[in-house]
Amino acid sequence: MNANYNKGILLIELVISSALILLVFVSLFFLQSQLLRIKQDGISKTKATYYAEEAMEAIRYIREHDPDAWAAISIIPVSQDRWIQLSGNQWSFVSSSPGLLESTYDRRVRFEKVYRVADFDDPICGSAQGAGCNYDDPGSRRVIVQVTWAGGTAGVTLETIITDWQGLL
Amino acid sequence: MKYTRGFTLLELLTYVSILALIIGTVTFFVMNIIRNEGEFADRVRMTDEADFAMRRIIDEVRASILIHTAPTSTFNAGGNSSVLALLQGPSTITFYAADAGGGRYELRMMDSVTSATAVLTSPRVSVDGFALTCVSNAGTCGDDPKAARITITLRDLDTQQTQTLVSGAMPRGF
Repeated sequence: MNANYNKGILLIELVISSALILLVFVSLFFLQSQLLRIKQDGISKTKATYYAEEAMEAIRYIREHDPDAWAAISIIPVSQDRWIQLSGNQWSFVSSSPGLLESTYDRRVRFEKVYRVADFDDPICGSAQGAGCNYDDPGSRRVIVQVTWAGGTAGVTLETIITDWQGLL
Repeated sequence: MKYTRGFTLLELLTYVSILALIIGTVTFFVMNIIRNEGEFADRVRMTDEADFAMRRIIDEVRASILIHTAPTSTFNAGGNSSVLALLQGPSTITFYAADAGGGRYELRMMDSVTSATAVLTSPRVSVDGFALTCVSNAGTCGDDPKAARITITLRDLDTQQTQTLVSGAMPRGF
């Protein structure tokens, strides 16, 4: 019989095998902590989405009930950030940040032009003028609401088109 | 013979002490993770519950004709004392409010001020806040509410953690 088979295990082998087992555990714990991070992201996303929805509702409210109605929206230069503020029971736009929501979420709104093929009742064809996309519709705006947190590394964006439907009546 | 010598006592002691050190460190992290996990699970569950209630209420506001000014509707109230009244048909008013029941507050949907048709929160949480802020261009906001900012705060009855969701909604008017 070969003497190698009954030599037992060496200390170094024991150390290496325990290190391997520990490595497996450590990876599992690492995975677990990543899962917690993802869950935390989920919570933040839920909160941020509701804040973004509030901003969308506020913009609709301004269009319907603000004394300036559509002009309150169309006067805002495109591609410029605005913030929504609720003060004196009114939702309105402000041009500088009123501070982070819950000291965490930055919510900003911006408007982009809407181009239609040739007239106000044509289909929308983009946010920039181009061939076959010539009508800069003054009664439509693309609304982009962005809620960001963690220093802007995470965010939720809602986008829609809003129109001056009352102006068309 | 060299191959059959086994471990010396010193080797064994060194190994065991290194192992103890490693296991100690790992246990510390594991306990930390287990604690966080429980806390997170509660927070996720509460967020889900608040999400469910908020989604339901926002959808109902948007689908309603207007926010009703029935004597029971209460705006700009803090805590859980707000009552949201929605006109949902020519004579159908639905109420949303936090009401005390079983030593806690639950968020209820009611077809009258006293009769609950649905409960939107589970027995594991209490409603710490159901607050409405009136939004309107009318002189007295509460006389003609056009929209509302809604704040829902839930508290876990085991861990006492709270979770708050804030959003706003405007009736579409048809």
